Amino acid sequence: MMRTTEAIYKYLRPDKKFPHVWCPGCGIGIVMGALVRAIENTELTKDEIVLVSGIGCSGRISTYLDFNTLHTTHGRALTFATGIKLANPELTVITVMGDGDATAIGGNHLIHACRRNIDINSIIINNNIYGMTGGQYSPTTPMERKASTAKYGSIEKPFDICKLVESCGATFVARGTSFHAKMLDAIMLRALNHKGFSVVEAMSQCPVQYGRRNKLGTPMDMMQWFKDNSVSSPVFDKIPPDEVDEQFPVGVLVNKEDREYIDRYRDIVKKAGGEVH
Amino acid sequence: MNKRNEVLLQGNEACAMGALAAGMRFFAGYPITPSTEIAEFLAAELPKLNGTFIQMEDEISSMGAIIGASLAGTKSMTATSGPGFSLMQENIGFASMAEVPCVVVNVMRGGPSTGMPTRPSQGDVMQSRWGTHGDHPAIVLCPKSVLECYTLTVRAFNLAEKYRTPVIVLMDGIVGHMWENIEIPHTHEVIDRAKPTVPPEWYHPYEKLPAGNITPLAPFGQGYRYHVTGMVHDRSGFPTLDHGEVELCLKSITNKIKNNLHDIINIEEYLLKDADICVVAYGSVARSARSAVNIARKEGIKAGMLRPITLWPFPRFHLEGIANRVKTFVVPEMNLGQVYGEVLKSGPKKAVRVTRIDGELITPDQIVSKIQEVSS
Amino acid sequence: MFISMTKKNDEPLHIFSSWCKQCGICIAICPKKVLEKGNDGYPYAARPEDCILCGMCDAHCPDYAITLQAKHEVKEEGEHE
Ligand SMILES: Cc1ncc(C[n+]2csc(CCOP(=O)(O)OP(=O)(O)O)c2C)c(N)n1
Ligand code: SF4
Ligand SMILES: [Mg+2]
Repeated sequence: MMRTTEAIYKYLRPDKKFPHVWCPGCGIGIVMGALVRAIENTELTKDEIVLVSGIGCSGRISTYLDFNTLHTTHGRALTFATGIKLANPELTVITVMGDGDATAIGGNHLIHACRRNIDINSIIINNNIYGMTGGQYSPTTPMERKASTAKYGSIEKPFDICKLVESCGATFVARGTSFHAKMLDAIMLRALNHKGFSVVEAMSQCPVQYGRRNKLGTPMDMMQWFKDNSVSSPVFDKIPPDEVDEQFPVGVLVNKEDREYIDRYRDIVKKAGGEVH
Repeated sequence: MNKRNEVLLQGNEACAMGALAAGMRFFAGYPITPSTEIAEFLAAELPKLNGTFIQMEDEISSMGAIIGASLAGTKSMTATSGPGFSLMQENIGFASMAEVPCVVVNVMRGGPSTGMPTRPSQGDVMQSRWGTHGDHPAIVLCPKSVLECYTLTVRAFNLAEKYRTPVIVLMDGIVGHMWENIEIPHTHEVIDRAKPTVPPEWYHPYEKLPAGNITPLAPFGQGYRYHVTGMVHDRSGFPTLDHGEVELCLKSITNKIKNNLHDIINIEEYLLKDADICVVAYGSVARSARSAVNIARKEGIKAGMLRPITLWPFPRFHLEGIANRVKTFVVPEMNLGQVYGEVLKSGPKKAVRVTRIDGELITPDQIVSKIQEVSS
Repeated sequence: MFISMTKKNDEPLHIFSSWCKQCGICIAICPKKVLEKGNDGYPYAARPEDCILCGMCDAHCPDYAITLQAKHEVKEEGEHE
């Protein structure tokens, strides 16, 4: 497998300014590196890939990579992606969203994209916070954690993104973390090769807006927490539920076959008497 | 169907047929009265042409999807009414900013809010101009008949492609639901997406070309890799905060419309040459206005009508041109005076309005009374 | 798959300091404790001879500021030199 830096040089837009915008120690850069390595291991050319992102720190990924890139409105990446994929099914469409982007303002689009099982690859960078706007709580901020709009600790139960999308019909669901950078690119590769709607939740540290406010230590401390609490999914399934504290499963959680939306749409075209190209 | 190729059509259907004739092959929408027939018609017809119909989860996603489809190179459209049109506004702004051609049909109903779903209104005139935030251009076409639902939808696609911008077809519930026998035009101009003439290395999707030419939008996936964003961007499409670039970006999206008013603006003039009284009316109300003018003429009153077919950009120069010789402008509309305000800006000697927001049509009689009142 | 590596020179890794934001991840994550923070704040290979070219530092550098100076080739089975 190609090393990050070499692969990155191949896929970075040559004229973009570096260092990139993300804060020191932010996990988004690590996730982007994993994505590049995953793509490097497919047969796809840069022209065949459309990278669609929402708005947020994670949404900035689309600026840096040398594909057909689309930086949409907050929460709406999947809606634009749906239009692109349906208009040209030959394209490989990847969406990158933040946790707020995907599950708060864009939650409705997420659940419906899952339900349709349209062949779009989604990466949700979950840093448990609204990074870009200065650390407000998101639908994945754990209970009691502080945020700029949860001064006394959050009282809202967080979403488990993987469970959410599984229950809505996503046919490939996986979770990785910035600590497991190499595993992350392996699961992203599997997601890219999966036909149907896939979701990879990439847990990522936001040391500035989330970590500092909650005294979680250095970026490495936050990654160490991912390491210490992640359990590979088959092992996790054997832990009795009442013994689960902060642990969470990582790896591929769902991988099933179901007819993909555009395949089904072709049936409609045939029934209507149209010609499928 | 008879020999003259005449068909009995509903306004909404004619709009959908016009879209297909213009080459639209992607529709995303969410049902809402009184626009739903457009979606229903296209759900049946698009698959026959191997086009895509999708019912999205809401109007926000419908608007996002049509922008995505357009970027992938397919002419696309959505159709909605008041509340749905409100939901679309953020992404309409995206299409303006990112210069992505697409067509949005808004069949107006009584508002605000859920208002009167089944009653006609013209309450969205200003929203169609200023619905999204920030300074942005708008092209809004306003049909008065079933035939125009067809022809103006074709024209909406042509303008969208030509100027790389979203175009709004602003219908009212009467026009959308009205049935008329129309002769479908055999031939009409169809402007297709221009292809870049330069190789990918030289391509800048937002290059400002001389003489008002507009840089072709390369479809995604054909070797022209570039970035599209709703942020203010430079000529290559990347976000910028450089003063000069910002100004260039924002002014150019407006100027491409402003510098082509002669091409974009269409009006209908009726008996205006010697008119002392000019009725300014649009959409279904223009039908009543025309009758009213006829009645007034029979009574010896020199009345005429000016109908903005292109509602935005507003045909201000046309009004200014006659403002000196017309004694009074009469502006009937199914709102509290949204176009009336524009008429005032043209510097008329006198202007009065006839407004109606109770969900009923404005009748010719109502307009005639106003004409009589101001002419006496 | 087989990865063969030959060191080009004595320095196993190169730190591109103009992209480095001094987050400290590479120093903390290296299993062999090769890296240390220099006086200028940037990491440097304090014990290059201990580097096993595991790639932890470059895969986890959020800023793509570390290049391992290893020439490696990915070969299919049966293609070993
Ligand atoms: C319609 C709309 N509402 C609010 C915002 C402001 N906004 C920008 S990014 C963001 C949250 C970002 O959080 P997340 O999606 O988790 O991404 P992150 O920055 O953490 O990567 C918000 C609320 C916006 N741009 N648009
Ligand atoms: S605010 Fe948080 S998520 Fe955003 S760049 Fe900084 S560390 Fe990363
Ligand atoms: Mg976030």
